Amino acid sequence: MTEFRPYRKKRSYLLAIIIILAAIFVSYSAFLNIIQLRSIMGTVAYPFEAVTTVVWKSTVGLPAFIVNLKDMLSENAKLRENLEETDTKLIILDQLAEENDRLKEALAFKRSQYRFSLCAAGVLGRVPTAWYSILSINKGSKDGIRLGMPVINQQGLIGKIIETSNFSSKVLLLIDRESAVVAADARSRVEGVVEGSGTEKLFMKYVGAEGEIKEGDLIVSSSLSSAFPAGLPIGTVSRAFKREHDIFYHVEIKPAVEFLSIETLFVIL
Amino acid sequence: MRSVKSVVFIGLLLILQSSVFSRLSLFGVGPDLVLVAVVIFAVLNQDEKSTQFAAGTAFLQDLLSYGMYLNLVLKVAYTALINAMKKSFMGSEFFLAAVLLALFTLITFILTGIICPLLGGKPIDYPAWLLTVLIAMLYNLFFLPILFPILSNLSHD
Repeated sequence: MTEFRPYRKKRSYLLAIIIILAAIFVSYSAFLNIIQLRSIMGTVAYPFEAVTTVVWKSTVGLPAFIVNLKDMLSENAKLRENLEETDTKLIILDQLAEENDRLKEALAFKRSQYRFSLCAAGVLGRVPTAWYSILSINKGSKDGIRLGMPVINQQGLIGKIIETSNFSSKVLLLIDRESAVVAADARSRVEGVVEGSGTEKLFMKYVGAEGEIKEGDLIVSSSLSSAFPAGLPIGTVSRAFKREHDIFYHVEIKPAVEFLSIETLFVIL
Repeated sequence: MRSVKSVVFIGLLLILQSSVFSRLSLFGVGPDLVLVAVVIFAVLNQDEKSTQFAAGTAFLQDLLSYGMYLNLVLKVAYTALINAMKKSFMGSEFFLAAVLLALFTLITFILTGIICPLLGGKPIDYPAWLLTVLIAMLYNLFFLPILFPILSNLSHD
């Protein structure tokens, strides 16, 4: 409970009346915007209002921003996961499609090679050495694989088995420096020995200068070879020449097989 | 020192009113901090001083607003009314301020409701108008306990 003190009432009422009348007068007169006071007041208040507005908006918007940021982060993470999953699925699908094509070709090839008994095998990997061109395959002695067996695919001769274990084997590729196979020109029947170079290139040696060989000729395994059946495609002649006093041709062969992309192959049992 | 504090307080009040509390409007109604401050100041201070405070604050509010100096007229008139009745009121200043604040909020809306159609404004939708009066009253009363101690300190400084 508070007691009010005595006040100078009359003067205050007079002041109030004057102010009210002045306000009404100004409101309905040409002095409505007294000497641009509103404009000045607006200019003075602007920076304070602007700062207050920014602070207010930031304060009010902060929780929503934090919540949104959290949502955005989780959504982003989910989308990334989905994208990765989809990418992985696409890669798997691509691989399956490729494998499907490969297997179809392999099946057709196996059916066409009725003269051989073939054992299909998949490539496990490449033997990690810079010196040899060797593949590791998923068939071994348990599957009837033995040393020296020729390995082919639908493109042609790949190489031969050089090592076996129960469930896997190693294939020395035709392009290895250690490889050699007696071969013949399918057109002219001139014979020679195809050797690997360690690169994606083969050389055919001991082709007599009196023989006939030219670029584009198909080179196949020869019937003289004891290691490989006759008639298996080895490659095509990419370059063949002889100098005046040479007794043999210099023959370069482009392999029939794409050695870098072998996935499925057959071992001739 | 007291004058400086008062000026800073009024400035802050007006800035908050125009930039913050205008954004807190519900159904188009926000709190009128100037009315709350004027009522409290009038209850707590001498007649002349409270009239000066009301005139200054309401004038600045009108300058930040547009058109007629209606805030100036109403708030000075309310202050005069408070000055006339506060001596005969036996009770707490806070309670008096609360009652007067509710009453003046209502009167402001009634006057606005009358003046607006007279000045060619939109016709009043009375159910909505009643709702806005109620919201404005609650809004103003909400800020009364916040501003009362501040103005009380300012008055007794």
